[in-house]
Order: sequence, then C-alpha cells, then structure tokens
Amino acid sequence: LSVIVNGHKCDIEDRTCARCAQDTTVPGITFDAAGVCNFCALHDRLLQAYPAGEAGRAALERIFSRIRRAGSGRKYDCVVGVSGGRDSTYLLWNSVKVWGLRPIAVHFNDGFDNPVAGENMVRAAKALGVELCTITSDWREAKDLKISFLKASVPDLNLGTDLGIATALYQVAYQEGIKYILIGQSFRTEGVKPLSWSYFDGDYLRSVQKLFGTVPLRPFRPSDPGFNLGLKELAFYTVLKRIQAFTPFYYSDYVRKDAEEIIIRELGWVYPGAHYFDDLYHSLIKYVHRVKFNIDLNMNSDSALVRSGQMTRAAARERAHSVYHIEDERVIDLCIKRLGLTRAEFDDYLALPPKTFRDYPTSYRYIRLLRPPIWLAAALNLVPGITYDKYFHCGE
Amino acid sequence: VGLTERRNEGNFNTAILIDPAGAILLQYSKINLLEVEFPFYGVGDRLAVVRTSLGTLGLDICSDNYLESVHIGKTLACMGAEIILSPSSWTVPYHVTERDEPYADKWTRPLCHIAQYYDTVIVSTTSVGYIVGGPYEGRKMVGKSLAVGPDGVIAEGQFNEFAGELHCFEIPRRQRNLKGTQFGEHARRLGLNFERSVR
Repeated sequence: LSVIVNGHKCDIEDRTCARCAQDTTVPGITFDAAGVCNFCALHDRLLQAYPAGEAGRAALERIFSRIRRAGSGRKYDCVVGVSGGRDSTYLLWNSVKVWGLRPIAVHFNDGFDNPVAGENMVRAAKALGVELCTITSDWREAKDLKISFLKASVPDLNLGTDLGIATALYQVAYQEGIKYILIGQSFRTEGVKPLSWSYFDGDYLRSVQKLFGTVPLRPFRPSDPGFNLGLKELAFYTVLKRIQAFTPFYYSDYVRKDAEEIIIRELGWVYPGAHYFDDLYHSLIKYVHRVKFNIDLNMNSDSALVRSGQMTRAAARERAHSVYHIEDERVIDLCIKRLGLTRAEFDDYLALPPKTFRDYPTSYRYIRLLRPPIWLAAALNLVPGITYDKYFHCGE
Repeated sequence: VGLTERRNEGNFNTAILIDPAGAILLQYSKINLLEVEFPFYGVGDRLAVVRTSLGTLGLDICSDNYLESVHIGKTLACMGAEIILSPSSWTVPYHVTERDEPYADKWTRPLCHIAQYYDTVIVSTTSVGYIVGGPYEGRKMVGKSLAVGPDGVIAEGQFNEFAGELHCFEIPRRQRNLKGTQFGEHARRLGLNFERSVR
C-alpha cells in the first residue's frame, strides 16, 4: 500500500488514529501501542499545560490583571486580532463584555476578504464600542507573494496573509504602546497543523519571494512592517518592545456552538460559510491542497473537535478527504482572475512537482538551535503558547 | 447610477438619474476626466438639470468636483440645481486606516466650497473595496460618502472597506431666489475673491 503524503507516494501503511480522525497522510504522524497518534498526545499535554475550569479562570484572571495594569491610563490595554469569523468575534465580545478589557480591534485585509466577514467586523466593533483599525496590504506585493508561493509549489499558499496578520497586530501594538495581543485560537477546536502543511517563517517568505517574485517587498519599519517578520523583526517586537501574544481560549473549554449562539444574539454575527472562509482565498487553497498535496486541513481541525468532544470520530472520518464545499469553482476562478492569472497559467503551477519549506532557504536551522529559548518564550507567553509544539512536535 | 455608455462616437463615463417609473430624467457624461481615463472615455459636452418634486437636481461625476474644476458644480448651481448628485469612486492609498481623515482637502473642501458660495447641496456617494488590477492597484475605496450644504457637512458615511451601507438623512429644501449674476454677487458677499482667482 502507498499513501500520498505532501503530494508524494510513500510506502507506509495506510492507518488511522484510534482516537481522532487523522491518518497517515499527515506528515510526522506516529502511533502508540494503543494506536493513538502523537497529535492526540500533544493535545493531552496542552490540556495539562493550559487547564480549563477553575484553574483556567484563575490563570486568565492573572493575565488580564497584568493587561489591565499595563494599560492603565492608556486608551487601550490590548490589541485583539479580528477577521469577522466566529472565533475572533467571540474573542472580541469576551474581551469587552466578560473580561472588562479595553481593546483596539485590528484586522488585516489582504485582498480576499469575504464581505460577510467584513460586515461582521464593522457591526461587532460598533455594537461593542470598540475602535476597528484595518491594516490593508499593498496589493502589488500581496498578489506577487501569492503567485510566488504557487510557483514555489509548496502548501504554504497563505503564508503572506498569515504573516501579514501577525505584522498588523504588532504594528498597531507598537504604534499605540500596547504590550498585549489577544488571538482567538484554540488547540481544542483547531488542533496543531503539521509543520510541512503550514510553516510560519518570515525568512522563508523572503527567500521564496527573492526566488520567484517580481515585486520587491517594502523594507521593514516598526510602524509599517509590511510582509517582514523574520527572526530579527520578531525579536524586535517581542524581546525589545516586550509585546506579548496570548491565546485566552487555551484556558477555557471553548465550544464553537455556544460561541456562535452568543455572537449571533449579541452582535448580529452572520456565518461566513465555513471556518477560515472569512478569507475567500481559502477556496483556492483547499482545492490545491486536495488535488496536488493530498492535504486535508479539515481532517486536522475536525480531529481537534473529536478530541474535545465537539464532533464524533465517525463524522470526522466521513468528512476526511472529501471535497469541501468552499471549493466553489466560481470562487476559485475569481481568485485566479484576481491574481491576474489565466486558468492555463494556474494549471501549469498546479502541475509543478510538489515541494515543502525544506526545499527553500529558511530560518528553520536557527529555529532548531533556538529550541530552549523558544520553549521559554512560549512558556512566558512572549509568543503564542503553541509555537514551541508547532516547531518541535508536529513533524519536525 | 454610474455606467459606461457606448455611443457611435465612443465610450463615455456616464451617470443617469432615473425616476420611480423607470424614465431617465438626466444623462450626464463626465467632463473632468482623469488622465488614466483618456484611453477609455470621451469628454462629455453638456450639463443639465431637471426639475422634480424633490427639487431641481443636477448630475456630475467624481473628479468633476476637484478643486480645479469646481466651475462644473458652480455651473449646475447657477442652472438652478438645489441638489447636485455626484456618484464617485474615491480612492486612497492602501495604508490609510480608519484612524486617518482621507478626504479633507481632496473632497470635503471643494464640495463645501461649491455648496457654500453657490447655495446648493452636493451628495456624493462613493464605492468601497480593495482595488485589484488597473492603474489604481495599491489603492482602495473606503466609503465615507458625503453630503454637504452651505453650512458644511450634512451627513457622512462610515469608513468601511468591506461592504456598502445605506444611510438615510433629510435635506431640507432651501428657498433660493438667486439667478444669473446674483450667484456671483452672493459668493462675493460671502468673501469669494474673484479678482484673485483669475489673476
């Protein structure tokens, strides 16, 4: 039997985790004697490190006390990243209504915003009396980056946007003198993506752009970082400026269904159509991941829901490797057209041999050398807590 | 409604005003074309107003209201326009955020100038969204449509680069008895220095 992993045939046994829905198409997956995968083991370790319930509430209160203290006398005490999707909208609502924080909501628009999500953000910010600050990319750079990653033939097709989101949050925190950033992620609902399915590294982005790009990226300025967030820039914001990023949902039993009910009722939130579909480019990404790499990120996040008791394993397995409904031909065509490509050009990129970040110059070598400090930075919440596990426990 | 109009002599950047029964009341083609429009559109060659139950209405388009072409709005006002409708696509650089005032000099100032000195109202609605392709790549449209009268801004839309919004507001009809050269005298009384402007 052979299994397609990252677009390549591998002579390994086709096997599925006995607990979640992940199978051997996930690079770096291993199984224990009971047939349970290492991602489930990581989930259990994260449950220990980030307990919910009373301990979680106490941990959160300690963090929020620090945030309130640091923001005392200032207009804002934290930056909340928003996309108009469920998780970030619920985070914003909690920040104001439950935790009593004074956030500024920051959104990064990279040219593929779903208008439904856009309206959600505007409506939520207005209802909560929160200032919304939208950092928009320079489309000449953003478009070129997206095409560069298609040419590089790697799965990280949205690295530009993911990195732009991070720089937008750091930019506003820096400009406003804010020390805390809140992010609406939860390992309980999203899981942890394998490294070669989603590798976050600003130096990787720069090297791909240098090899395939046609537009030079504007240089880094702390108040206008653009698409620059390599190790140096990250150190500037986190070590020198001591801006910390938190994921508060790590400390609670975040249940998506409950969150949805609240934000629909309180903020008039409208479902954008799918998880991650606040960004229409995910329609194209899903398609490329499926047909070129045999990557199913839904299987990865559904598995997290299975571990958290929010989805049955049977339901998750039924969805695994199926065509996801946001793979809408009209939206995919819109994405291709928006990039200024013809369908034939896009298909040519699709036909290139599959690669991963390991085929390009990156900072991964240094990241591995910095393993202890990264562990410490994650433990101290200088970077999101999952960062360490992502780089060292997910198919390193 | 703004549209591209195809005529025998070429294409035009045109706006039309339609009554509730579907009849076209006004049809106007843009005069103060931007250079980037030259390859696509011909220059409009007439201005018009129409008397309706809502008052006398005039039409112009976007950069017709640039500071250096306020004479277009002034002419419509002199033709009797109590309200000038001006569909627009105002663009700003990508780095402008909700925290900036994107239109102060570019739009608010000329619109207020026309409205103040020529005793009229201008309602200019603009688009929203991220621009991809074409000469304006790297810019975006952020809403903030404007309605101004002789006393300044009457209503303003919100900064929004994601989705259009409908704003309703009332514009009281003005009792205007100005005609012909009285417009100039009115403007002069309010402090407009014609001598300086033509020197």
